[in-house]
Order: sequence, then C-alpha cells, then structure tokens
Amino acid sequence: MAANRQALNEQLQKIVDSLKEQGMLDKQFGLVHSLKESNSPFFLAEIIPMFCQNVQTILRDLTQTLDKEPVNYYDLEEYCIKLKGCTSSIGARRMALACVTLRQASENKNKDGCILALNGIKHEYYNLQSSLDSIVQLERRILCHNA
Amino acid sequence: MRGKGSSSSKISTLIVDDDPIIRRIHKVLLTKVGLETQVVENGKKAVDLYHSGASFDLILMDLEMAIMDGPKATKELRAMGVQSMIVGVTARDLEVEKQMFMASGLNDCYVKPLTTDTVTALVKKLKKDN
Repeated sequence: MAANRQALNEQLQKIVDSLKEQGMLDKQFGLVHSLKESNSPFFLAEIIPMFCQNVQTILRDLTQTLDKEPVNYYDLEEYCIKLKGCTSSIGARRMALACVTLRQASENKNKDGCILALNGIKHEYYNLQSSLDSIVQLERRILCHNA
Repeated sequence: MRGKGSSSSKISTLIVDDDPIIRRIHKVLLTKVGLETQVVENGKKAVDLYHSGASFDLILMDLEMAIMDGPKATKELRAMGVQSMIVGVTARDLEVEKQMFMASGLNDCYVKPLTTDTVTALVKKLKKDN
C-alpha cells in the first residue's frame, strides 16, 4: 500500500517537474502543492478544479468583452489583471506571462493585438489543463490510499 | 470575529480578496505559518468587521474588488483610526499603481503571488513592532 502511494507521488512529481521544465509551472506551484501537508490534505485536489473553473469564467468574460463594439478596454484590463493574479498565485507561469501581453495590447487599445494575446492565453491554458487534470486524478488516488 | 483583547497569542490576519482561489491559497498559507486567519471578499466587509468591534494584527488587502475596493477600504479603515498593519497584495505590477495604492494608507504593497518569504518577513516585522 505504502509502495503504491509512493509510486503515485512519484508519478505526480514527474508531471510537475516536466511542467516546470517546460516553463508552464513555476516554484509557486511547489508552494501551493506543499500547502496540503498541514491540516489541508484535500487542498490540491480542491484548488486545481477551482482554478480551472475560475479561468474558464474569466476567459469567457474576456472573449465577450472583445466581441463587443466598441471594446471596453477598461473592463478588458480589469479581467486581465484578475486572471494574472489567479494564474500567478497558483504558479501557472506561462499563462501569467501571456496576461502581461494582453494587458499591454489593451493599454494600447490594439484590438487585433488583444485578440492575438487572448488566443495565446487560451492556448497556454488548454496546454496546461490536461496535465492539471492528471495531477488532480493522481492526487485523488493518493488521498484514497491515505484514507 | 476576533474582538479586541483576545487571549489568543497568535497573530490574527484578515484576508480581503474577491478571488476565491486567492482567498483559499492565502488562508492555507497563513495558517501553515501559524497565523489565525479570517477571509472576506471585499473592502466593505473588512470595514464592517472593524465597525462591529473586530480587529486584526495584519490585513492583506487586494486592490480591485466589487462594492468597495482596496484603496477605499484602506482609507476608511485609517479614517476610523485603525492602526493594524495593512499590506496591499495586487496583480498590478507597475510602480505607479503600487504607489497609488500605498497612498491610500498601506504599510506596504506586494505584487502577487504571495510567497512564504513575504509572509515570514511580515510576521517578523509584526513581532518586532509588538
């Protein structure tokens, strides 16, 4: 049983290390991962789905804001900042960096630049999402072993 | 609600942020380093807590929030005479933005993400000031 749990932990760590090597996650994710140790064993399994739900909501809001004419660049920037805060706090490095690009395009009121930047954020999210799903699945299996 | 004169020797913290992810991460992070924590989702709720008699050693204040944002909440708290350490935590990273937020009465301002090092430094400062 302990061997299985260790194998699952190693598998999870391998995914996280790979994502860090690709620059998709940074050390902030390591901090978030470590927070489950003290009195919050379900933390990682809960926070990742919350994060994904939050991101999908903000991406929808960003898309809708850009679809309207004229574009409300104030709202666009607000959503962008919100997404940057959320992604940087969980350690989704490339997504957070992509938000910076969107913010710059928004400040310049460059609609085409904003569309390109938003597509960049979506691309980074979709690349990260399946790995995050795998992490959650593994985390749930680890929690079952710990029970 | 932590009232004044609580017998707890733990440092008490109020996390003010409209993002549920941030509230959760910051709550668990601060609890891990031994702080008492409470969370609210906007500046008005923070002000209301103080109006009802609560007080905290440390407030982590987000900038943009619906109903009442960080700068407005900070100004109101200071106008009430609140001397708690109020630290801004924002995703805005331009110096002019941080200075604008600081001008509302913050003790300090950090760009997200909040790290263990930042929290440790804040705890040290609080213990030194007390």
